[in-house]
Amino acid sequence: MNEQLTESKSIYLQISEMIETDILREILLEEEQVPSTNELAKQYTINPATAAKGINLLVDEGILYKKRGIGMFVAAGAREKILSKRRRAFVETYLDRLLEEAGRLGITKEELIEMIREKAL
Amino acid sequence: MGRGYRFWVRYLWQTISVGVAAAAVMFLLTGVGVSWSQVAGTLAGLPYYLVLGSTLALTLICFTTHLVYFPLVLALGSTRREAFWGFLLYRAGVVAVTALLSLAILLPLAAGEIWQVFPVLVLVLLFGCTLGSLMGLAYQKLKFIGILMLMVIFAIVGGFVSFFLVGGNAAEEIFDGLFAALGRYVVVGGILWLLSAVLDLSLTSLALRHREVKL
Amino acid sequence: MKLICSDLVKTYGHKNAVDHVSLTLEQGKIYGLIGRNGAGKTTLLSMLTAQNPVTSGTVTLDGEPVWENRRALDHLCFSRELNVSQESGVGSMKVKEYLRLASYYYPDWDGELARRLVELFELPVKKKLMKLSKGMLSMVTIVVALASKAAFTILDEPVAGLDVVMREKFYKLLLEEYAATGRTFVISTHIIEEAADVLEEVIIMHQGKILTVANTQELVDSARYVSGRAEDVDAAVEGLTVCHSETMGRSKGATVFLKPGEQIRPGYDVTVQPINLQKVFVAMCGEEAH
Repeated sequence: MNEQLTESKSIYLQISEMIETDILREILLEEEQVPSTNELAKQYTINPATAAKGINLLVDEGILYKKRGIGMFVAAGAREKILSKRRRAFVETYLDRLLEEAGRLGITKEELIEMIREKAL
Repeated sequence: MGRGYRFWVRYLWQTISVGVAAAAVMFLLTGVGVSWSQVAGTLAGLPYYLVLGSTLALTLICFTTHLVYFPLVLALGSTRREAFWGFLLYRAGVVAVTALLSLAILLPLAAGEIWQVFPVLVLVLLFGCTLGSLMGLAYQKLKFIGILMLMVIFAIVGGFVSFFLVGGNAAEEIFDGLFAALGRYVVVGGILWLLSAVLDLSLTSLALRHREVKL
Repeated sequence: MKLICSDLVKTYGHKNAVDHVSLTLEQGKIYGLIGRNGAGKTTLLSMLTAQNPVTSGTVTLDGEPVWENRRALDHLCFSRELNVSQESGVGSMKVKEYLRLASYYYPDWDGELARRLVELFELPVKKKLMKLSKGMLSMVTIVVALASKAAFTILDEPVAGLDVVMREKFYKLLLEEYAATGRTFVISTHIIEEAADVLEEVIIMHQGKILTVANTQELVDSARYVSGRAEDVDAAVEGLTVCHSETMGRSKGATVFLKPGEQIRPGYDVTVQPINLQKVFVAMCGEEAH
């Protein structure tokens, strides 16, 4: 989790996404402990409440769980959950914007499909 | 005593130590290599030095308190009550210690003159505090007036001191005469001081209450 | 324990430097007080900490008025830029003497922390205050603020004079101390964007009044910058709270705040971007703000 925080998205969302990405990259494995809110706050120089918000988001989605007195851990099946979540978001995050821009540039559906076919080669 | 007074107590302690050390040094310088009778003579003059020094210091410090120490302690979280009483404690402390020391020296050596001289000494000390504080207050409102008062006081005292140092025996006689004369007006002086003290204390209290801690 | 001010007013001459301000500061949060020069931040903070008398209104800590109240003042620390410019004696005080004085007035003073910070900042303790650079003076006030361990610690422009490396160090130290003790900090600052991530709640002050008190993240999340052709932008933001807009030729840029449930009207060819705290602030407090 050594990326930089950028300005474009809420900090707490960036935190939760960074943790998700680390889980996908198997930097954090299931049943492993994740950094505490204070550790995250210190590392990124952000308010602990913000870090907590990011973590709580993942807890709500069942990606992390809390072991009382110890800390936050990666839940079993977290990877699967993240992948399916991101697949659902893929349409909104990438596809919608792709189609919008394509529309603005006057690229037809057929041209678009051809471009994708070429790229995916 | 509350934590809010620690500053003033410590300051009092520092001032007394410095004062006593200075007096001791002066005594040593003037008393080295002389016979006992001469020592006694020199010692008898010590209270005057002490009072003069103390008064000068007090005047300056009381002046500086309004300028520096009040804003300082207020900024650190002192209440105005603590500042007022702390200042009073400090002044009373210095006056008391100086007066007692003078008394301790005068009693064995010049018992006869004591009741003519001692009250005058105390009055001078008291006036030093009150005038210093009033000057500090004046400076807050009208810088010009405050500075003027300060300059006048120092000119008078400076002239006085140099005259005394240079004038030798003749000066000492004039000095003694002056003290004797003042001794007659002690009561009037005392009343005058009380009035000025009341003015000083009420103005200080008022000024503190309205004071703003500024950048 | 809450620090509450109610309908606070401070009048200088005919003008209200602080104009009917009511605020509740809770324990365990880091607040940011941001506003332009002359907005009244320092005046407000001085009254909150009983350093200056109020013209009207009340300030209470845990229900008790703070004015002349030793018990309340024990929990408050107002650390501000030291004035060592006059020939006034404060400048001739040595650093360690000043720190010792501070320790008298803060009952929970942590001498060990003070020592550690002095070492970290490489402060020359034997030097007189007036001989210190502006940066070092800032560091002295930071040491006092952190070592005071006061439940409500207020810092007025703490990073003035610090270079960017020292500023980063300060934010990290602040967070460390906050994590360790859960004290409440109120930071008034000009350098908004840098501090934004550290501030849990932000208080925006403008011309003596409080414009908004909000969770920093939520405030920033609710703001959008909508740009494109003027007609499209106007249509897209219709009915929404527009706080600032600028027109350049045929294009227009508008800063809007979305209330919960609201959104930019879809179907228009406009670019919608999130904006940071600094831009939000400028939109709210700049000259052309609505």
